[in-house]
Amino acid sequence: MENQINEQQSMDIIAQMIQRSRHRLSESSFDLLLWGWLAFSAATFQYILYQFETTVEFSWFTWPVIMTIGGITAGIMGNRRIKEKGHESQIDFYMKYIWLGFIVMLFIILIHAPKLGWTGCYTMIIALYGLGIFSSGAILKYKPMMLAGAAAWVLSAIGVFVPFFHQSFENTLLLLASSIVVAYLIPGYMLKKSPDYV
Amino acid sequence: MFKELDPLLHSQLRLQIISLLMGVEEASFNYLLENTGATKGNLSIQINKLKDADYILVTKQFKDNFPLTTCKVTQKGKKAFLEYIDTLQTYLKPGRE
Repeated sequence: MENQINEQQSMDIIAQMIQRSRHRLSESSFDLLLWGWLAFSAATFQYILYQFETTVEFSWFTWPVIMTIGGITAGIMGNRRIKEKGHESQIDFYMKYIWLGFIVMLFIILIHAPKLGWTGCYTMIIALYGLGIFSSGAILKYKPMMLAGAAAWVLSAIGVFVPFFHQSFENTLLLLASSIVVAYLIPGYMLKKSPDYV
Repeated sequence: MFKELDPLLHSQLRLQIISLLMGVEEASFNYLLENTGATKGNLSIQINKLKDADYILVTKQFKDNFPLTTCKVTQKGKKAFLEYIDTLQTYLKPGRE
């Protein structure tokens, strides 16, 4: 069955359908908050374990444990969300590839870390997720997120140039934890409250 | 002289389908059903017409033991949609032609 339409009705249909497929900004807050809290916990626990002689050697273990939990949760929740929504938006599509690239680069840095030194590599990782957050903010056309990504770059530079950080691994851990608050958690909560669409 | 509007897109339901798909990467049959308000049978027919013209790509698979049909607009479909809008604008604003 085909309904005959005139030109103005065609234009109205197009506008109405495009409006329906717009991406709600708050939809993107879940992953940011999930990974933000997980990375913040991993960095904080590593810092705590680093304070004791008996646990210092295993302090790095917080990362694989917490990140595996995060990976499984994000995978399950992501699939469920797409199934519920019934579609994958272009925003979801681009985000998927940006963060896939982030994971690949993260592994490359981690492989080189024992040779290059963990303090420097943690500083590089801060800059790397600064890039992820900055690009995601650009895709969402959400300036606070772009600023948060840029702030992570500034914190990474502080880690490189300020002796208090680059001469001490545990101080770099504190820098990492605070950069996660700035780059993930603050824009994450702002996005969650945002009523806007993109 | 006005250019003819693509008859394949100049129909309410097919235009709804392609407009929805232009805004997303891919969408399930149920998403299209909910957002167009069409009946299952009519939606299937119109999807097949768009598929036969290579305007959309239809993938059928099973997810968690349930059939899942997803649709995605092709390059040919995107081009046809943009041309349709251009032509439409000449009807609505004749001075543009």
